[in-house]
Amino acid sequence: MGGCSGDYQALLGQLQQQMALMQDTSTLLDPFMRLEGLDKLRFSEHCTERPGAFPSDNALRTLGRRDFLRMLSSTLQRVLHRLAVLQQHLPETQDLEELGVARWNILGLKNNIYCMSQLLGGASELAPTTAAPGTSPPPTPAPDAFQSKLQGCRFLHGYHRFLHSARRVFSQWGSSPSRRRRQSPVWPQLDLERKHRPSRRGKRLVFRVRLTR
Amino acid sequence: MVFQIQISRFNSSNIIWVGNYSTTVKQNQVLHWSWESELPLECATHFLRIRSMVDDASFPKSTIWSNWSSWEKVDVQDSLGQDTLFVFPNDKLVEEGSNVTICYISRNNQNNISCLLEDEQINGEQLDPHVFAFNLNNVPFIRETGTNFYCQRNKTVKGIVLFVSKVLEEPKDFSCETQDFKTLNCTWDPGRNTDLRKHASQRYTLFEFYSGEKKLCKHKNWCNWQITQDSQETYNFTLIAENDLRKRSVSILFNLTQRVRPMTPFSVSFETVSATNAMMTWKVHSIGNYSSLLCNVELYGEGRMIQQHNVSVKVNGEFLLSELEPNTKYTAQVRCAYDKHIWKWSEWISQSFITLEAAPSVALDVWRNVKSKPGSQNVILFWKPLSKFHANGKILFYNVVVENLDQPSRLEHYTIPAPANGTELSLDQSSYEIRITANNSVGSSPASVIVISGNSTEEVEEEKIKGTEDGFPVSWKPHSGDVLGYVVEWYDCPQDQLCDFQWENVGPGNTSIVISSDAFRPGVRYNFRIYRISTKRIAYLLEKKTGYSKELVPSTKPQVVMNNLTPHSFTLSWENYPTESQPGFIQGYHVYLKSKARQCHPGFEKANLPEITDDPLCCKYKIDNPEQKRFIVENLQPESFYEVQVTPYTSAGEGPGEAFMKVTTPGEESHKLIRILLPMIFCILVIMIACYMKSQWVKEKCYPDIPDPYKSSILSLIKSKENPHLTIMNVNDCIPDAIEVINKPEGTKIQFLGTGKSVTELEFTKPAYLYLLPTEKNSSSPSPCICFENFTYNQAASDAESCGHVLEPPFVPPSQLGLVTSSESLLKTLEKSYMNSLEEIPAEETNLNYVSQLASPMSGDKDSLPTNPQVPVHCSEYKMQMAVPPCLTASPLSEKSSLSSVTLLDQDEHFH
Repeated sequence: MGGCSGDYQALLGQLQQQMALMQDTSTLLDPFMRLEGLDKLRFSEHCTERPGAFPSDNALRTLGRRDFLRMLSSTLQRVLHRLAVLQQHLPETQDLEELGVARWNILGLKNNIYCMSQLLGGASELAPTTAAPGTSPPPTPAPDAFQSKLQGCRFLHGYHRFLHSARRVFSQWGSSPSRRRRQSPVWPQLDLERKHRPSRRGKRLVFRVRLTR
Repeated sequence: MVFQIQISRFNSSNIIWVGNYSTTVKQNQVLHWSWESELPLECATHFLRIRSMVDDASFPKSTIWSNWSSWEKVDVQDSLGQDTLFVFPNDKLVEEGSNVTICYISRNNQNNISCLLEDEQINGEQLDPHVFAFNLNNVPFIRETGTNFYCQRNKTVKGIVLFVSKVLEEPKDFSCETQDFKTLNCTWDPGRNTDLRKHASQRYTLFEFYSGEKKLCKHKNWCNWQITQDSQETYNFTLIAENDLRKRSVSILFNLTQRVRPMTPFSVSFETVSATNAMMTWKVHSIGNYSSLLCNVELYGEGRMIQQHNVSVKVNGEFLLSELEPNTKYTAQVRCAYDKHIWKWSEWISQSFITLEAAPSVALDVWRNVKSKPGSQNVILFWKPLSKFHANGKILFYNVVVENLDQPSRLEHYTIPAPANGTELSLDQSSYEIRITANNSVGSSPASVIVISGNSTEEVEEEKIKGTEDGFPVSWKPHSGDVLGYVVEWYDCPQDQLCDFQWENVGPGNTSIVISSDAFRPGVRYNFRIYRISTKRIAYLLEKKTGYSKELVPSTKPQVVMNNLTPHSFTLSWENYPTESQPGFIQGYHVYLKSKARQCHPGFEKANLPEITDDPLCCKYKIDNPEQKRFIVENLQPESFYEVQVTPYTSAGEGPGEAFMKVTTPGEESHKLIRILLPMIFCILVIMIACYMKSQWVKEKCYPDIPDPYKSSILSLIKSKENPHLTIMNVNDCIPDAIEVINKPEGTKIQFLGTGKSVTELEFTKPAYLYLLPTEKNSSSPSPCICFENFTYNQAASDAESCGHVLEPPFVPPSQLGLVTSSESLLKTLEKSYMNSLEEIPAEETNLNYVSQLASPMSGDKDSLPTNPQVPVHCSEYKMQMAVPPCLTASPLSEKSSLSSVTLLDQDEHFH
């Protein structure tokens, strides 16, 4: 497994902790808005995530584990590129330190996703992230400055929301990597229902306590 | 030609600007002219027309304006797109402090549009039904990401970022220099940065006037310029600073040779380093053929510069550093400058080195402490460590050579390892010469010589000196003889402890010195001794001084004892007060006396102490002699109350005293009574002691032991005749039949039963003896009694000192008296026998035993007298104590052996 840990529980716990940290808006969105001088728009509708920018909560829940990991990895890759663009547009003297930290965290998260994918038998589908965090994409023509600020706000808002949703999915994963089952958008409720409903097949269900939405 | 241009806004008739534009025109040439509107063009339709006129003296006829062109309409609103809200200008760059007009275009008729500048809502001016304008004056720089202005309507927000740049400053401290005549390095201070996001336009350009070359600098504060090979000596540089809004420039003119700053020298090293010299070498970068450098060499030792030299160098530099100290670390540094014109020195380069060691350069400063003992002397040698300057290296050990001057052939060597600063020698009473040297790895110091004389018993008076802030001024009388110098020694610590033994050498011409030390403390007595050093290096004690650097008030209070209290005086004494251990010289004592008198006693003066009030009056007596530790307070009043206190004082003031002692003088009578009683008590005590000493004699004289009846000759007589088994005399065998009264005084009446008179009528003025005499054998009385006089209770006997048997006049019952009468003749016989037996009884057997009284069946029955008074009654009752010899008490008394008693009816004295 190369540099990956074979401990599923440890890996899952680390993924959840990483996401718990990165979903916090104080790590990126809040400093970005302060730097741009748009604090008042921080919680307005103008700074909300544009539909489709990131996979929705439901979309993530409906995915199988391997598909979920694949989706997570590809989305984070797009986030990396976008963060590089954002950093490019910031003035040299006021480089947003949090941007660099966020990029390093995403790279670490991606590596853990790769390792988890290996544990689940889908290693070939994902490649470990080795790109240097400082590499920047080629400059792209930017819209006017104000729209760029708003777009950055919306993007980062979606980024944090996406990590929050992904963390919730991880929190619903079982204690064993071999356990596979298709998850449905309403399965947390189903879990609770099953808890109180006797199985028709008489099989013993594994009890799980999940938070309902 | 001159072109006149008119610009209208909203409609052609609203002309807002008219201006001329003059230029030289060519045929078919397209001219460009620009005009910037303070109101974004997107927010209003503008109209423009133009006319021209030839402005040339060679065509005077053409100086007439042409016709106006038709109005040209400038309207960009149609190309804005389908949005309903627009804000302009977009991403405009302005300088800090400028005025800006912002407008928005709303294609709806709704008026619920709010606009905010940096989150603060502002109000604008409506230009037409769809356009509002906002005039921002003197805009400030807020952040590099720009100042935000946006307008909101429902869910729509549109805004712009106004990039406010700081004002570009003129570069400061622009200068150029070369290190190698190949490259010019130009530097300047750009001032504040004016770059913004999207507008990072601040740039610098170097322009050289003579060559006409220009170079865009990559950095904002320095730029390199390549020197061409055409030997250009003079340069005229212009530094142009510019951004999108402003351009500034600064120029310098210089000769290249005057702007040479050599590179830092390198390869600094030291060769042939000795104890006092070191050769320093270094290299410099070449600055061209036939060019030389002036190098500056500085030598530092112990943090300060001690040498500075200038050296001319072409390629390799070297300099001999001399006059160095052995075993010393030095740091040398070098820098260079172009020798033809010193523009700037190169950077320093430094290197350290340590010189080699050398032998110590001076002799040790040695002194000694000699303590003589019977037959030997203990010599403690002290020396001060050599300074680093004189040690010339690390001192490894000290050599001590002791030579007996009385026996010169004898030498003793001692090696004391460093860092010792002394050693102890035990020598005999001979004279010795001691030589001490300090040694390092290179060699020895010159020897210090000191001579110990075997007989040094000098005693000199000690003199007091007074310390000052600068120290102790110690002076002594000059000595007219061979004097090599003087030594003053003392101890830094309070007591004469060797730990802080100090000394100072004084030249032969000086007779005073001020001894100062940081160790001196106020209130500590220091002792100084001044020695004269003879030419033979023998030390002779000259004087002794003692003193305090600063005297303090006494630290301890005297323990005052009061005695000899009389009605008019008492004595105070404080003999044990330690004057020598006080923090100052005790100059005397103050005796304070409080009394209710209105005036102080003679010799006293009124005390002016703040803590003492006038009630009661407090007076002070001053004792100037510190050795006087006894004082008699006189002239007191009898039966008066006084309070007294004694306090010592030094030059610093008065010390503590014990609390006031309270004294009440006795009265005159009691004093006299004591004078009488005391001798009497003394006499009584003497008598008592004498009596005790003579008690044995008194006993023998006054109350000898009662004779032992067992040893009586009478007892032995009875035993032998009747009952040899009896061990006690049977009173039946001894029937008194007569009483003999001796020394009967006149007037004494004794009436016996036989006379018919009552005993109560008897009167005795003097005691009389009763002698119990045994009755005759044929006596009809079955129970005769025998009585012995009791000396213990005979007070009259002791008084008379004659040990005579005193008979008190008893109350005698008639029966008993009758018995006595019948035994009169026997008593006489007994008396003789008794007195003889007393002489035979040893002294240790003459103790008296007291037989307890028994109740008599006859007692209290005075009236029931026996019918036959001639018949003796059993003497089984004792009403009085009777002293009998121990032999008589050995056997219990039986009925048959009960004693009859003769009771003398005196109250206190009884005789049996």
